[in-house]
Amino acid sequence: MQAYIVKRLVMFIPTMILLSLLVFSFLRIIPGDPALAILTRGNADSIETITEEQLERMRARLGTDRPLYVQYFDWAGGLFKLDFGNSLVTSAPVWDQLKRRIPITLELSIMSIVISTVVAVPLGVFSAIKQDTWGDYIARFITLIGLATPNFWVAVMTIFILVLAFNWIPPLGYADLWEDPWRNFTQLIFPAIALGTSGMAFQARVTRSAMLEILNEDYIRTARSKGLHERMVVSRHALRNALLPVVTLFGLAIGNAISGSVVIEFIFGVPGMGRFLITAIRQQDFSVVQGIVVIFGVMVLFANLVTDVMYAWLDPRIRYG
Amino acid sequence: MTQQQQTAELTAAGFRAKRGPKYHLNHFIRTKPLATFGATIGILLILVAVFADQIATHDPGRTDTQKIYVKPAWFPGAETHVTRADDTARPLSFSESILGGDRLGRDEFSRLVHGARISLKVGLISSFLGVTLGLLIGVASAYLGGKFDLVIQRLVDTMIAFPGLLLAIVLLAALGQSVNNVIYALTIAFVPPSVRLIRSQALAVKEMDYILAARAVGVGTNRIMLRHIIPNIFAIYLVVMTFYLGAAIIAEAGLSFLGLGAAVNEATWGGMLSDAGKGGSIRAAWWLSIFPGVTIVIVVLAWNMLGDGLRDVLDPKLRRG
Repeated sequence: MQAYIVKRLVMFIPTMILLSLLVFSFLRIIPGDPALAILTRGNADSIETITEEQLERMRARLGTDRPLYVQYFDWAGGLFKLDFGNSLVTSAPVWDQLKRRIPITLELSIMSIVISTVVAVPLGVFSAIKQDTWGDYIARFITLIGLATPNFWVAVMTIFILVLAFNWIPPLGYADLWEDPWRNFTQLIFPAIALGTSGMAFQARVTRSAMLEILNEDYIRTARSKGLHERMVVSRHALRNALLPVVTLFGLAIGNAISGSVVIEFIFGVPGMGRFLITAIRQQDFSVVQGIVVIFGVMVLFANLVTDVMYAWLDPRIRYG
Repeated sequence: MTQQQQTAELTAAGFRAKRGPKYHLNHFIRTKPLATFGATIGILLILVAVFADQIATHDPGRTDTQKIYVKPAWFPGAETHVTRADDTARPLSFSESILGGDRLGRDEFSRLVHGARISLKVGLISSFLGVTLGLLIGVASAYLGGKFDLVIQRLVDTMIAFPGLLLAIVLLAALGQSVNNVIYALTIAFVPPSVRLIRSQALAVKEMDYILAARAVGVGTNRIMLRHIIPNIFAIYLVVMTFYLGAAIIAEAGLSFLGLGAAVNEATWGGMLSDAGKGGSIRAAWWLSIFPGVTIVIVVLAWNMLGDGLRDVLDPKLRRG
């Protein structure tokens, strides 16, 4: 087990380096000069009035006058010290703005995964043990609809119902989890439900097919033939094994929750990283965009690592394979 | 078909006689009603997109102050009495207000019809390009193995750390917003997951005896990949493509919703949903946030059902819940 974890951790390093290279190059394909973009921000007519000297000074301030590889090592080296550079708009360090927002997005993502799992696993199990009955058909139809429904529409509909039925107004301030847990919960529960829908449908489908496969195994027949109550067979023998593929979906679920959080935070006005990303893109604040994308990527890679280790722990065939 | 008829069609050697395409089509419709429904909606959508100019009752961009938040003509109690330029009050006819008007008085039905064009264009091109690139890279990676495979796999692992929509958002931030850039961004986002899927399939095919036989008689590497491996994983290629078509339609709507996709005044389903939430539209005209959402769900549901059906028919091994 230890050897497996060490192997996975070693593989983590080149992936991280590649990640930083990718993020760095994404934002170098932008057509145009960031220095020029900053100088002309707000009024496009000012292009003629900018002198070459001004441009040079701005490039020196941003560091874009240096060779690309120097820029990369400078930026990537800073990442180790949590130095993501300064915002191109406010000039404040990016990390100071990010560190308040990371917990919010993480909390939202985890809440949505908890909600979707709590709904999806029983639904999938029900669907499998009642295979080819009306209950199964209805459950499958719900999951098919869930897969086809964009989470931002669920969000719009949630707000729509809240506004029309409960006269809901979007909260202005954001309550911190540790200061006012209940208000924090009421603010995040609806975004979390909206975020969880498509993940829920997917998890329910996986649970159903895993459950169906396992219910055909010999050891289930043995359990039944020794006279075990059906409820025991399902909960003790089948479900435990069927949950394995669901666990391995955790990494994927985190990824989907994070990418979905961008839209959901934008709609509900949650002050997390996702909404910050959209704001930064609109303001062309590329050092903020870079920082957010690196953190999102690290979160997903880390979730994948945890998933792999969990999988190996649960299923010995993996670590010796 | 009765048992006797079926036996009658068996030839003397005990093999089933070859059947024409008409038989297969009938068989598909009979055994896969859901997939047939999906295919019908899919064809309908293509027709709507192609003949959008003929089907739309109005110019999708034209604003009409008389039609702001006007209810659809078929709503009970629809207040469609509008004072026209000639000062006569009369109810709007059905074709004048099939789905009512939005907050700028643009015709909702015509915008929905024109939205199908962008949605389908983005969906078809990006899923075709993304999955085809995935096929070529995945097969090469599986068959050639060695260092090439290692590099590709590390790259894919890293790219997957940016879940679909997030990668597209970042690429669009760098490329700038336009329909073509949405296509490029989604294409790039679809490549890594399809490489991974195709590679795992190609690895299994690579070990088959017929590949060994082909190599033994001296068939070249390129020819083995193109003529012997690709045809044997073509089923999964088609299935993955239908699923990404649905995913692309959702992603395009999401990007337009965020204002990062097509130009803001263009008619897109995502843009219409975002419009429906603006400036008190939810209170004034709740139906505006229903029509585009329901359209997206039906269209994506249809493609997914078609994909499910294709998967069952083309490759029974892949059949799952």
